[in-house]
Amino acid sequence: MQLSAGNCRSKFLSLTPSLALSLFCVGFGGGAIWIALDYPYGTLTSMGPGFVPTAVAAILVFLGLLIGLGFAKDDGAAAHKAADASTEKSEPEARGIERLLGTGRVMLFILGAIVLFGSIVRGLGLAISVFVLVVLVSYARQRVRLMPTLVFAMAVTIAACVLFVTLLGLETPILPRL
Amino acid sequence: MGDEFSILHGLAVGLGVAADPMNLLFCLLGCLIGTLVGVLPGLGPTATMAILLPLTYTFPPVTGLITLAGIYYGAQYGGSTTSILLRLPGEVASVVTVLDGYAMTQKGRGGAALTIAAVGSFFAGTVGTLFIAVSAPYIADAVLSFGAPEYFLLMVLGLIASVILAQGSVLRALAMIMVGLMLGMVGTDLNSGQYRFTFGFYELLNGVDFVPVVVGLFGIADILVALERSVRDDVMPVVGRITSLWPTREEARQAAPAMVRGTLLGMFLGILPGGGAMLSSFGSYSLEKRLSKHPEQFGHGHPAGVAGPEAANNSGAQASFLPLLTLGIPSTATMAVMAGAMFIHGIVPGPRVISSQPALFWGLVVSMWLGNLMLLVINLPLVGIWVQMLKVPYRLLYPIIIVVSIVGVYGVEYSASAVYLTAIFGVFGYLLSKWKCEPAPLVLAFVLGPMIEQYFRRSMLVGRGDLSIFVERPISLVMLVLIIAMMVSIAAPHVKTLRQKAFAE
Repeated sequence: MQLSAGNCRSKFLSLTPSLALSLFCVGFGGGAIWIALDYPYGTLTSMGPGFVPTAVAAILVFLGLLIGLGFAKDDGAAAHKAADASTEKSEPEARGIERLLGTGRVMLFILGAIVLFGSIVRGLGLAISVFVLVVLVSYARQRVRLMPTLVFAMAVTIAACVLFVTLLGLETPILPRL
Repeated sequence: MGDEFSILHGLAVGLGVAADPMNLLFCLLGCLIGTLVGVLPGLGPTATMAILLPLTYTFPPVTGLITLAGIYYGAQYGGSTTSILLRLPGEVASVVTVLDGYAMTQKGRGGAALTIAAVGSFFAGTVGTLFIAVSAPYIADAVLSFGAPEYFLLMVLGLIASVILAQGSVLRALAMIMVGLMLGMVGTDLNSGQYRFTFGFYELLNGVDFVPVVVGLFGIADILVALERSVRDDVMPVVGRITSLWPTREEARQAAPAMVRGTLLGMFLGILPGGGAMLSSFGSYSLEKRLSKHPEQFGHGHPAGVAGPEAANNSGAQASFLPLLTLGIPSTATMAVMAGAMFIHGIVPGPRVISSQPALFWGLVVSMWLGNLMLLVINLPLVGIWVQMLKVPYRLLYPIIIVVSIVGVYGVEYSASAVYLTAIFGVFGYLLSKWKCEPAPLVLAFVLGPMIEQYFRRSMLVGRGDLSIFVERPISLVMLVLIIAMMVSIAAPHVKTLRQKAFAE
């Protein structure tokens, strides 16, 4: 973890965690304030819908600025280390472009599969949707073999249909409506 | 209200509910799932409860809550098993158990360590549930006299305290609280009917749904982080044969007082916002080490180093139910999930739960004790099976987690937008972990946000726009002083570093 953070800092265009968080807070808070301009502000006695959101967003922007100025030290590192001890067996992290590609692949397959599931489950039914979901998320990892994945996806699909529809009584069709 | 008779009566009602075969079955199921989750590294109780929350939607409310509670304290038992035998803490609360638990295993005393951990947890669980049963009615009665200003300050107090007690940077946690509050404001404003931050999506008119937020932040985000790190499936370490489960007289003598101290400490820390199981176990370990005449033996298999933290994390887990059930304020992210489960069933957690839903409250309390008893009985004989479960490789585990969470999210309202929202919060959770932020304060603030705003606006209405209403009422004045004291203690270290910087120049 330490290593990769050091790596990032040396690279142009890469943001440190603090700076990225700072930008997010200022952007998120600033955007919220801008949107809340349209909501009536009210008075202190009878506040309108815009009062509290503006106040909270302003605090967020302020905190974001403090974080950006480097006030957020990573205190309490001991607890973080302890939490890391449980993931000790992860491989040394891949570097550079390889790492970026790996991240892109994970995001694409996991998120793509979830969004696809959401868009097809109503039309194609639970069975096909779950099957596609399992196959796609399995390919988020590299060097995946097709046949074992298909068999595994089949087993998960059957188990999911039994669990959700038969046992839990989910009222969703298993097969596509023809 | 609240005398011995009504507590006994309550326990009798609770026993009737908890001993219902259906509830017994789901209590056992929750405990088993919890133990499994505790055993598996990388899958915490909060994430599991969030993932399984939609499934309990179809149950009666009390059964759903019993199951979820079982997962939480079951995980405290399970986490210790692999810590002791394999030096693999299944979750954060049992990280410190590794130090002396695994050392005992290396000395051939692994069986004794498991027994000490299990008995310690059971003792702590028993005391913890009794504590809830005895004190909850009194606290609830006292809280009923609270007005809007007290409630508002109580929630602010809870949020600030959770920041101080949680690990990591205070500024980051405060920022997460603000983001959580903002998310809580999405939807229709109750007072004016104004739509806020809905961006034209009618799905957002009732606010951002709770289930996609927690499943995304805890379930999906964890998977994204783990896959990016390309966690390798290692070969399973071999577990040595467990010869004797019985501690020696000497070990029992060292463990017993640590167990009692751990229980009391855990109970105290568990009530505090942000406390819960993790803080309790860390706190207890350092307490035992400080009190011991032989602190140098810690880390080399001292029984007190197992008994104390294990008792503390379980009593901490039990005690963290108290603020939720009496004040209606979840003190940790795990309890926020419990609160979410209650909301889903149309139950507003708070001081009225005990009087308006006695069967639910007492049933839950009694089932927690029964669950602890079940865990004591089933845990030791099943150690071999739990260790086998570690052989399930992550490449098979994460697709199953995704299917259960996504189908569950979809099943709550059969809505595709909930599924998309889960993906969005998955990415957000991934970013938070890159930015070294904890999602727990965000979830707490998200749950409390709408109530905080309501109580603040109501206080101002009652006080005619004069902020002095918070000072004029005695209880709220005390809370205000506490909040200010905590804010000062947060600011102090920063003032110090600022000064050091100035001096250096």
